[in-house]
Amino acid sequence: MKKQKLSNAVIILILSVAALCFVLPFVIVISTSLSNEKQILIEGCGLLPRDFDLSTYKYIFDNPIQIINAYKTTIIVTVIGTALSMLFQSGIAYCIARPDFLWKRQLSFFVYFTMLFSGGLVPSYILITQFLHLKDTIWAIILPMLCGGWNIFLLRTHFQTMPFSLIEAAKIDGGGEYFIFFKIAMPIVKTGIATVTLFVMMGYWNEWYLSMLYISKDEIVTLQYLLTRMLNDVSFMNKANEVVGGSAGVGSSSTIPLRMATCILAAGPMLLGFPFVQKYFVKGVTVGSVKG
Amino acid sequence: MKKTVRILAAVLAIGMAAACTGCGGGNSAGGDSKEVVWCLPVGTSQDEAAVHEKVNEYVKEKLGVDLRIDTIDSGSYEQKMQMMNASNEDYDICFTSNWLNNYYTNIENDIFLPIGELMKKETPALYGLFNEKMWDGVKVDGEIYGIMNQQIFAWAPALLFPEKNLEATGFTIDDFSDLKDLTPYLEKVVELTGKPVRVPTTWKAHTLKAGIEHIAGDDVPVGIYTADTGLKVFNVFESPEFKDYAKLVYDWRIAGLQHEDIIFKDGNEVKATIDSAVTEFAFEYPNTDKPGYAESLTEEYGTTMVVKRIAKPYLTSSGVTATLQAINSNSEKPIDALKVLELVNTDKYLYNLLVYGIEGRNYTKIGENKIEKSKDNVYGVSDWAMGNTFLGYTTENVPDNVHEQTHEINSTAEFSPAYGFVADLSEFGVQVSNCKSVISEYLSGLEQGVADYNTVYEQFVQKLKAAGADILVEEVQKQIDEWKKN
Repeated sequence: MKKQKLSNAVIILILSVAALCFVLPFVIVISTSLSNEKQILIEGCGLLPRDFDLSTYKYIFDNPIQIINAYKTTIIVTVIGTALSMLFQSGIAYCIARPDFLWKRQLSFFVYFTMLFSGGLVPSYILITQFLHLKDTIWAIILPMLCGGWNIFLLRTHFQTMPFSLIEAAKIDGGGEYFIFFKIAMPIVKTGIATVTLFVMMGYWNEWYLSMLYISKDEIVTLQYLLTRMLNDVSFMNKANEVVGGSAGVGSSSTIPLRMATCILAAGPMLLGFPFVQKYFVKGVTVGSVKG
Repeated sequence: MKKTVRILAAVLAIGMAAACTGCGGGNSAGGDSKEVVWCLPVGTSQDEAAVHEKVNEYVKEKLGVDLRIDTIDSGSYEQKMQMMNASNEDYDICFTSNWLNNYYTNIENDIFLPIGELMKKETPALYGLFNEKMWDGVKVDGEIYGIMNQQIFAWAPALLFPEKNLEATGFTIDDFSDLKDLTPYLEKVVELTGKPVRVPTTWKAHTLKAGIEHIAGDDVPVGIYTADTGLKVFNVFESPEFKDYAKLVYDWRIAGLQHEDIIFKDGNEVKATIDSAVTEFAFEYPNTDKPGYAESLTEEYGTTMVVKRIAKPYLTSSGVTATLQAINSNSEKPIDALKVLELVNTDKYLYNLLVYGIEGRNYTKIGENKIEKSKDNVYGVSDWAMGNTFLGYTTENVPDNVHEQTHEINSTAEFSPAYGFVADLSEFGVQVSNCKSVISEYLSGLEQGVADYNTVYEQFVQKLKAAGADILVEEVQKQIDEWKKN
């Protein structure tokens, strides 16, 4: 009994330390965003706010249009993107998993090939701007990330657990293909769908590179790109001031607390929302393990 | 029924594919009307739409072309321009320089149009802004590819002190004409306050005072003496001047005249140290003094700053290639684009419209040339990115005659003996990057006296030699000798 208590204590200790390592940086970010900027430069960041100061948040919310637009865009992109992406990816995976699909092998190879070779950055840029004319639209962010080979093969594995006899039985009972797909196949692989949905959702939420490349209109910039831009502007201004004379132009003097505050605003929703959906994931992951 | 669905699906798929290929071809050329597209790394300003509309109106009235300004935010300008160039996207003018959207790299890739002859013929006013000697600074292989945005080009080493610190220590600014003169000042400070001062010296700030110019970039150790018309190239870090400098700051450190911490020249951190330095008796030794710099610091730190130039202003090709506009070689209307640039660089109304916005809306005039920016309807872009800064109004904390002062510095500056020379080290990428990493490892320790001069300096020199510094020196000497012949 004593032995178990000891080993429990050690495990708890190790895990607590690990948990702290994850939580502390975040606490520091929050406290820095609530600090006075001058004090930060003198004293540095810390666990407690230096000179508790809400002025950074006030500054952000005084001109909230940019952040609100960015939120709007990011939410729209994430919702539409995830929905479409899951639809197409599971659709392809289901087809590849079906043993009676005629072109199963060819389609698999086609998907696999894209995982090995990619045209590169410039050809995709040319494709999206000059052939598809998607520059400055949210589709330039949604479409490139729509289907990923890795996700498709993961889903295929899940679909393959479904016995073919189930499909045959459904057909005998008069079910059409779409009925079988939506009402029978999808519910069986709920865990796989949930996992991939999470990946896809995170991917869309965190996407900034595509936004940087294709979007010039300020109103449809994504949240992460806004943050990246703020961080980049600072280093740009420093470089510019070193090399260039002339009166110091209207530099975006993003102070450290401002950057931290934007960090919080960008990552916050995901962090806050996750604990609520967490229980579904846990349920989803374990529900298939006990055979009734 | 099932068969019909299948056939329908197949037809749809083929149809979509065909439609996609059909989509291509119709390239969105830069506007069917005569639209000139100008890419700038200035980021979107709040009131941009209103200002751009007015700009377009004016340009259309004067030149008959539409002007579309594509304000790309500074952080992604480099990458976006690379993409645009690689995919041959249609734009006419873009900002370029030796540090952003690299001028020389683009010329090598045939991105820019040679505009020397075109300017002389079509836009003589633009060409006439600078004298022949100045234009030499932007020539590559004898051709002009970029137009300078007139602003401060020359580098003028100077020292800046908060006035009250000087009074407290009993010195005047004229007592200092070199770094060594600071020793008694530092001693006095320690006497008065018991604490050593943070000394923000960097080698970059000191090079001109020491009479050396880095001719292949700040982190390549190749340089010449500024007074040397014979153009002898040597390893800058082996020169007696560098040794003296490093020894001086090290001696200060040993004598307890310097604070132990290194100061990194990362914008915010230097500012912080200067902030606390106003009470701590520090001073500023910037890379270059600019007219109005002392005034702007006075405003920022809340205490009067005095400035002393310690060397003659000096003009290098990197000074003039810091802010350029170039014409895309794919542009279908280069002459219209040039005319737009000419208008921007000579028309006071247009230039100020671009930089400060609409009078009454984005700013109010409080003097003949002085303006005050509005708090709402915020609009502002870096003036050095747009064009001829001498046309600009001055804002409140800038002295009225800042343009005259700047012009004076530029015209009295000494031209570098290597003015117009560009070192091509593309085949020595390995040595260049090795030297860069050695320098970034050792220089900050040596230039602030933190590292032990006696041991670390030798290591530094050895490592540089191993990284191939001598090869680079030889190569640049060869190139400069070639260039001298022409």
